Amino acid sequence: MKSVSTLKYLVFILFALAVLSVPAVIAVSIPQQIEELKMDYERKYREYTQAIQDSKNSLAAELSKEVALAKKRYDEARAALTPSDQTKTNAKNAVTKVTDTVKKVFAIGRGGESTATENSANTKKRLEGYEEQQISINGNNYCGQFAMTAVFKGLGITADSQKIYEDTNPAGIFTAPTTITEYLNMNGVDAVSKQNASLSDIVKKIDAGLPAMVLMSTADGTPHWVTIYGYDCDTDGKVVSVEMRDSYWGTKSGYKMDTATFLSRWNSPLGSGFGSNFVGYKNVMIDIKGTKTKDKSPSIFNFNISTATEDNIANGINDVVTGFKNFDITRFLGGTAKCVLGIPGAAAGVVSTGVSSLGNKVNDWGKSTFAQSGAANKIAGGGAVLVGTTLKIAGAVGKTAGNILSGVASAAGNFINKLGYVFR
Amino acid sequence: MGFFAPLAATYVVSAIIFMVLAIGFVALDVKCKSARPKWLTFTVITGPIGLISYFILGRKD
Repeated sequence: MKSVSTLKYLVFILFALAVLSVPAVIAVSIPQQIEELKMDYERKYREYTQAIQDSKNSLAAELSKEVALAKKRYDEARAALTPSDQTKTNAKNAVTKVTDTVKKVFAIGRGGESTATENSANTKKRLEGYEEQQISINGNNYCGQFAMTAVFKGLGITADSQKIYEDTNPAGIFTAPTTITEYLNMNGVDAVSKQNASLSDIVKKIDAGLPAMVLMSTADGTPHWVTIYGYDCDTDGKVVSVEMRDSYWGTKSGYKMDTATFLSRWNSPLGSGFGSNFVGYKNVMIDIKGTKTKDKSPSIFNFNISTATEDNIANGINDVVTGFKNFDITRFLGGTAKCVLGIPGAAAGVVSTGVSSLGNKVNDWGKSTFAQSGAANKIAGGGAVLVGTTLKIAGAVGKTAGNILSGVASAAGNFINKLGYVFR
Repeated sequence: MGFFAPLAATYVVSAIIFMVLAIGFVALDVKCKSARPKWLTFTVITGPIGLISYFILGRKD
């Protein structure tokens, strides 16, 4: 009898312990569930904002629903469960945080634009298909080829970046603007080289759904090609930054550069060194007009007359080196013709650009001196402005002559290069 | 840039030196047959082609 009563006693104790442990289990599980739901909600929110940034509209819309569902579950759980005081405090903090983030989420996601997103602070525009491109090239100085690949892929044209490199710059030297336009046109992209382009030209391109390739300088003054595919505006609509893919900054994903830095580097692709005084490239943009039927051979007039001197020198050297490396006889001969026939144009154009640069410097000095008080400063400043202006005019005339001569040399070289395609 | 920068600089400097020598030669050559301004202008515009043409056609034997 005694053993039976002992057994009953033990069963009663176990039952009592089980009953008493339920609140403890609930007390532990409530904050845990809250925390898990909160983490789930925050994870989906991160994915959602990332999707917006990547301009993946469909994914963003889908995730938006999931975010709303996660929020609903979280709110329901919070309402249904009775948490401990500590959990209440934690939950309150979490709710405050979540409320803020929810407001932020639905503010950012307003409109569901595929290429443009906006919030109360600014507007940003991104072309789809550029951010996530994976581009790999084995070689040296392949910025032009990297940027071209980004354009091809962005426009939906299949492109092998390594082949582009071997076709256009196998020696790993600088790629001339005309080398780029020639290759783009022969591979289904309608493109021309433009000098003295503006930021609004780039914005217009992106608004039209097209990228822009531009020639800018790296920090050490090396010319560098990048593909711009997006921009950010402030509340006043002023462009504050541009988004690019390139082989230096934006190798794995987009790189954002503030407008002031970008414009400064775009304005002088050779930096501020001595050599930059003799090169006329300024705000060079490869104007992408869309896709087209592939050109069967290079255009004879594939040069920009306002930079024909620079184009002929750079493209001539490109063609000689590429023709030699690729055993392309007509390209090699065309490049040689450009270099030989371009001698007068190169001499006139480069010297004239130097004279113009000198004229600008003298002019600037004259203006600053003239602004100072004193008769001597007025006389010296006025004289310097006069001399500077004369030098600039002489430089402009000489550069025009150099460009015309270089243009003729380019046309002759392109014609020889074109002959090679007749027999292919 | 690779070897592009030195190559381009060498080319440009050589082009300037060549033009100075070519123009100087045509301008001062004592064996010029006739029409020196014509040969001079032709050399300025066409560079090496003008100079070669002058050597072949514009000089006294």
